[in-house]
Amino acid sequence: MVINFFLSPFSVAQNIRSFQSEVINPLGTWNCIIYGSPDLGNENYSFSFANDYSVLVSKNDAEEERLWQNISPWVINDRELFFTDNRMARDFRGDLNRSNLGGDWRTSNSVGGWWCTRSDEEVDHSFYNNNDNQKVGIIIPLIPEIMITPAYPRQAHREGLEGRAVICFEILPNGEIINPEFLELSDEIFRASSLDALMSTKFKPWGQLVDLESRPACRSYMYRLDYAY
Amino acid sequence: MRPINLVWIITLFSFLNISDSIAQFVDPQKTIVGGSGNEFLSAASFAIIMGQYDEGIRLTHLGLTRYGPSRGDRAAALSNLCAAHAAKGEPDTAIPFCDESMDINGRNWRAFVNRAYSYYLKNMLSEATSDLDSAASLRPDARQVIQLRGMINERGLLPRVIMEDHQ
Repeated sequence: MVINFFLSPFSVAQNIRSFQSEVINPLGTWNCIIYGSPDLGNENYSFSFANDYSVLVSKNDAEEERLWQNISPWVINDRELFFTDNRMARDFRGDLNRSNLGGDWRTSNSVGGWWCTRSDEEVDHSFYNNNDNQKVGIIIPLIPEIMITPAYPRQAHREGLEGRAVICFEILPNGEIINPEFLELSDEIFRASSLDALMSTKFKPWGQLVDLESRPACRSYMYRLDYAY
Repeated sequence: MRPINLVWIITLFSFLNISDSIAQFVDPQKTIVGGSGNEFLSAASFAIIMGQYDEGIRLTHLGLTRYGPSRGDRAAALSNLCAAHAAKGEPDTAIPFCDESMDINGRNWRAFVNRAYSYYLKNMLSEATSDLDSAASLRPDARQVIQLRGMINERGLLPRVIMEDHQ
């Protein structure tokens, strides 16, 4: 049966209910595995979808306090769920016809999948979606003051190795970077040069403009080799 | 003349570790030992390994002309001539010797490596890569193949790093 599934901003919940028997209702919180990177293995995240189209994401780490971040609005189009993790420029697509929420994701140069089970955790979206925080991301961008390009590792150059590294980190009000964490690393050979370059980077101070202890950001390094002959 | 012991040559070569010399592309295992006329070729190979390229070339020519080496020995000797001339920075002289060696034995990976290095000296990286691929297909794990691959990559591949911020 072909169903035209169009959602207006005012009828999302109603429309989802009307197809409840046929498609997954994404509203609520989901514990998810994001896979696709053989180097990093599975990434464990939770997503929370709200009626106001906001998506919150939180990394599942037993040792750390739960921290939710607003990543993008979600939309449904033809029984498919779409949202984007702006921190890593990763576009998610979910197939609502399946028995569990899941689908695939892609960035500019990689693809993978994700799969979720429903969680009963309740998340206060209003706290994370307040207007002040939204303005922080839009009006006051983080501007690099010192940018260091990583040196291409000589061994990788000699072996003709290309690769990619994605590091997420926090930026203090004075612009310094702390707590770098590799989200993607195609080869260990790129770890040191990526980290050295990142930690030599400094952002413009933003502490007087925004009342936050630190701000999250991610940076990707793509190592490429071009034939000169 | 007392023949040079092959094992001794290999041991000495390993000990000296002449990494920066093209003599590394001359494998002492191809040195011809035993039999009439082979003393010249053995001594020539040893001289090339030791960096005495002119002496190695002279002795190799003597070994090739004074006696009649077998086809296999002749191919190895020509490959050594190729290596010696390449080491002297004479790739145009070296390449014909490699060609001749490969005409005799088309599966001599050392000749391919030596010619690849000669092309590398002439900055003909595409030809060098092609020869190196042939050598790698015959002996993929050879140290000389890996080393020359690195040299060609360093010269022929331009590295760049693209950075993107995600906030």
